[in-house]
Amino acid sequence: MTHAFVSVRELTKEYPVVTGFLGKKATLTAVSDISFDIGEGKTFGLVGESGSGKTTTARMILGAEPATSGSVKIDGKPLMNEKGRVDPVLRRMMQPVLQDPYTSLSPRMCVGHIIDEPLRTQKLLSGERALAQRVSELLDMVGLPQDAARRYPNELSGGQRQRVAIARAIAPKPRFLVLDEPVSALDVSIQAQILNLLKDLQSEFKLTYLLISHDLSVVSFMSDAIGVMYLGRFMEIGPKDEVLRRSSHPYTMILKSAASTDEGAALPISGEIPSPLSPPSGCPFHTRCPFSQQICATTQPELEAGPAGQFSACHFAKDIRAGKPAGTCATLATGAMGR
Amino acid sequence: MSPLLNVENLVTWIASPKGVISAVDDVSFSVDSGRTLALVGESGSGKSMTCLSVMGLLPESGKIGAGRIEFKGENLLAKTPREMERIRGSQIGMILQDPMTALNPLFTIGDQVAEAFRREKLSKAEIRDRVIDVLRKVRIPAPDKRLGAYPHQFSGGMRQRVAIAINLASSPRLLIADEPTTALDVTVQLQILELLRQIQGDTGMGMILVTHDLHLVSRFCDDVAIMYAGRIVEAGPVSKVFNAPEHPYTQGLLDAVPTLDQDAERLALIPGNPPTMHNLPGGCRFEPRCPVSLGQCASEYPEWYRLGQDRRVACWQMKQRIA
Repeated sequence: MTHAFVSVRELTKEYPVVTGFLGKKATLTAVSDISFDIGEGKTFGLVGESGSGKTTTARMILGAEPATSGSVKIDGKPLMNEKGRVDPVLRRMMQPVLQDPYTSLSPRMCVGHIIDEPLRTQKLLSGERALAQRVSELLDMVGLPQDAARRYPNELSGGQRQRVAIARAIAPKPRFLVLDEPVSALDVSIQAQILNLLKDLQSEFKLTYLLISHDLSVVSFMSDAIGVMYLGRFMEIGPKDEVLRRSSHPYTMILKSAASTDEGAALPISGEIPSPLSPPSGCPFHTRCPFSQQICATTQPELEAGPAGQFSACHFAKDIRAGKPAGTCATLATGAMGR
Repeated sequence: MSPLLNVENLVTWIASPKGVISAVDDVSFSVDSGRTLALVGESGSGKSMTCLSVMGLLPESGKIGAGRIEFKGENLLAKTPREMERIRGSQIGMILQDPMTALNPLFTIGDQVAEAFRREKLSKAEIRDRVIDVLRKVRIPAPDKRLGAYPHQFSGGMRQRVAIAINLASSPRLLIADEPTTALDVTVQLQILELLRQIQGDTGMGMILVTHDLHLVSRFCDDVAIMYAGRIVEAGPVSKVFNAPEHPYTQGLLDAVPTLDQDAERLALIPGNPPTMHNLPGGCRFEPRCPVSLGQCASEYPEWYRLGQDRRVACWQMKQRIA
């Protein structure tokens, strides 16, 4: 096992909400009891639909949102110090890259300034010449021409803007990047360029990535390990190949069949993600699961270990894994094996 | 038999502060009843402008410069705005990416679907029954109880169902769906497309699906036309085009999509960016990014090369291949 660079334990986020006419108080659980590790230089992919808690998890790991309970350790040190503040040394180690390069870059700053701003504010580098030198290096690294430094974001295409955002993120030499849907706003051909660039930077600088995406194929391309989230919980988590090739949760299988081009692989799914304000009883996925049984509505399955390092929160994970004809799970397993 | 919709050599101009651009340039395709054509391309490739041209809904800065658009044998370009309005209301439907912009937030779902029936002389109860009927067809649960709901009370997927119901109310012969599921979650996406396909099976309507998602094309469409910088570069049945793409752009596009089965360290990619429409290359528009460009490509736009009856490719490479 590689040394865990990022270590997340039992992370939970609850928001108090006031609902209805009488101002009834309720609790919205956005993230519930999430634990995972990311090895140094590795990529952990969080995949799930909107409202599954991916972004809230990322914000807690970045320290942008206080966790209700649970802990985050980075490089062996707790993210929060005794005063309940984000450790300044750790904060400098991590940088976010956000989805929309159209809104995440200031339209009033030229690209050179956008990139060197974190260096100036964190006083990592001083002197105009040294800054200009670093900006020029960074432009090179992300594959932008040198004259881009004097341009403004509105003169650039979406892909070029995302390159600027990446250059800005790696400017302070972070060790950990949180990539929140980094390519979903981009066209297919540009997507591939950005994903390759992220991979190159990772191997060059030994960066650790937390990648958030709704697109299973993007996560699969980038990640070493994958966590599949649904309504704030992990349904399945483990090494990429285990989760994707030997899935043992119906939700993973459904996401997989949705990302596949093969029509025969389609698994039926009905309805939409339920409101996190009134999550279903038992297994959170049972209302939409094509294979749900009685027990699923009453008892919430715990994440249980499979043979090869993956964990799955399904009562029938064992049957699915064995491909055993256990009731309806037979159809499920053959559906998955067919791929 | 003539196709349901036949577009020939369509040219659409858009006036912009930097000058007039041809957003759609010499585009031809046809759609048959009961079949779905996918218009695929990246942003700015002219997919949406092609659809708006067919609908007669171009923005004020837009103008059709040349070509023919025939729907059921009638020339749509010769219609008055009034006539086009009637055709849109009854024969050609359209669904947009974001259903929230298509629905009026101030009216109930029931009112908005009922709109389509107002022209017919029906009693209130009859209209109500018809509305419930259409909502049931798009699988909105307990439609009789949802009539009084407002769009904001619905989820994205449910709103898109309402938008489809509004279109279905007038039983269109052609449905143009412009990125209908891009704003939705993957599992909901499939449900909506499955629904559209079932409706198509029942009514035999023709469909144009505008999308950038190649997975969806291979699963839900019969024919595909790949657009690049305002032009179609390759067209034909989905199975043939996707299994053996001929145009370097189509090949690049298919290779650039990550798939679950591959174990590649890097994705194949198309270098560079699409051209800006103000500054198009002289010859083939893909030439600056093309890995196999020939001398001719930079100066002359390629002719169409036909492969069999139903495929065509605009690439000079085909000249040698076919000769």
